[in-house]
Amino acid sequence: VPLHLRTSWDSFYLEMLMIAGLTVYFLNFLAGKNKNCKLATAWLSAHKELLETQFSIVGDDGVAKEVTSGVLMKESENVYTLWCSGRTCVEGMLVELKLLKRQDLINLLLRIFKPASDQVIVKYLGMVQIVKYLGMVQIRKYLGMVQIVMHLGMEQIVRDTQPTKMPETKACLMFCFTIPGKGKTRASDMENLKPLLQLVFYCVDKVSRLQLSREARMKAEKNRQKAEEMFLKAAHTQRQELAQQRREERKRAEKERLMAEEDPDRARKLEDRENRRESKRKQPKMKMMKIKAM
Amino acid sequence: MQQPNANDPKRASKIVRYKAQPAGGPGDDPTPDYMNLLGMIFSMCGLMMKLKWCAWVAVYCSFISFANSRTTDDTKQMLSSFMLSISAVVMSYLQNPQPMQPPW
Repeated sequence: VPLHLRTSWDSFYLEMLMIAGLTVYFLNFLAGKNKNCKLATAWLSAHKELLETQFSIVGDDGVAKEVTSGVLMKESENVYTLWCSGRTCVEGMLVELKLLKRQDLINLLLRIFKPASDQVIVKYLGMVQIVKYLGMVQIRKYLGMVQIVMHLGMEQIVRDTQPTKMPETKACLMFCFTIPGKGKTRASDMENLKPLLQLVFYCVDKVSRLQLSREARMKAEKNRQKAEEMFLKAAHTQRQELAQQRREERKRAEKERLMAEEDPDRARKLEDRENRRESKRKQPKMKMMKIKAM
Repeated sequence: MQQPNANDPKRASKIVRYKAQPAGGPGDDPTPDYMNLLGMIFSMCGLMMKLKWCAWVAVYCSFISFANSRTTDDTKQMLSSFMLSISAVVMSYLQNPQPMQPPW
């Protein structure tokens, strides 16, 4: 066999490179996954005691028949959630640990150009009614190196693609903490985040004791009614447009059927039926009234 | 029953069970779905047009989709996408055992 047609293992260098790349990706996946898991469990062990002083249950997954405790739910390899409930003023607290995608090599390379940080998002759901009147409030502050975004507002409970009335909402208070270090977080740093959770509890107690004046409450109620009216009007217009579209489609389909009809008699019959239907629709609608004989 | 302490915010009677958020909300990361789709497209290209590099890219896309996947995602779909990309690579080499040529 001529030399240039013989293939040796050396000529498969691109394939070797591909396999090496996949191996490196997989090894990084394992390392990143373990690091994120370590950070999440370190956060939970550092904060569990504090959470147990505030909530009756810390870490329920909603799966088992009985209420469970101490379960840190894994949404993905970089997102962990914790549900706490059984406290005054709130229905429950959902803590979301949005860690960096350390398990994805592509994300790791992208972070070289665009550094990002781990985030801890604390969401209080079902807050007391005062929050309903405050509307949407967002505050952005820095506490040392930690960036805090506090969001107070209403969260939609059920997402409906074609809502016919105002969506059902629940008052919620959300805190988003961005951990400094641009991803160089260590398990030992989790202990230092405890003051943030203490701040959260302090804020929730303060917000739940807020009182609005009578005028402010009435103004807020009026604004909400206005918003609801606008929403209903828009929904009504949308429904009317859809109905008009459907009518036009039906008319077009009928016309096409008429054109496609080869038998002239059948075509004439269909046309007559269509004309009778049109004239009936154009006739003014009259109400039937019963007149009692005197 | 023990009366709750005035300073104790815990209320055992106010426990609400966790309700999983429905998938497909605004905060959802679309990366695993896009990568899954891209992987399938590259696999089909690799199989039909006998392009080895397409098949290899499909394997990478499957890996990336798996790494970014959520726990609620269907593993069967991910596995089938991965199998499709592997079969694309194997078929390309069975049909043409020559090594891949670099574009330069």
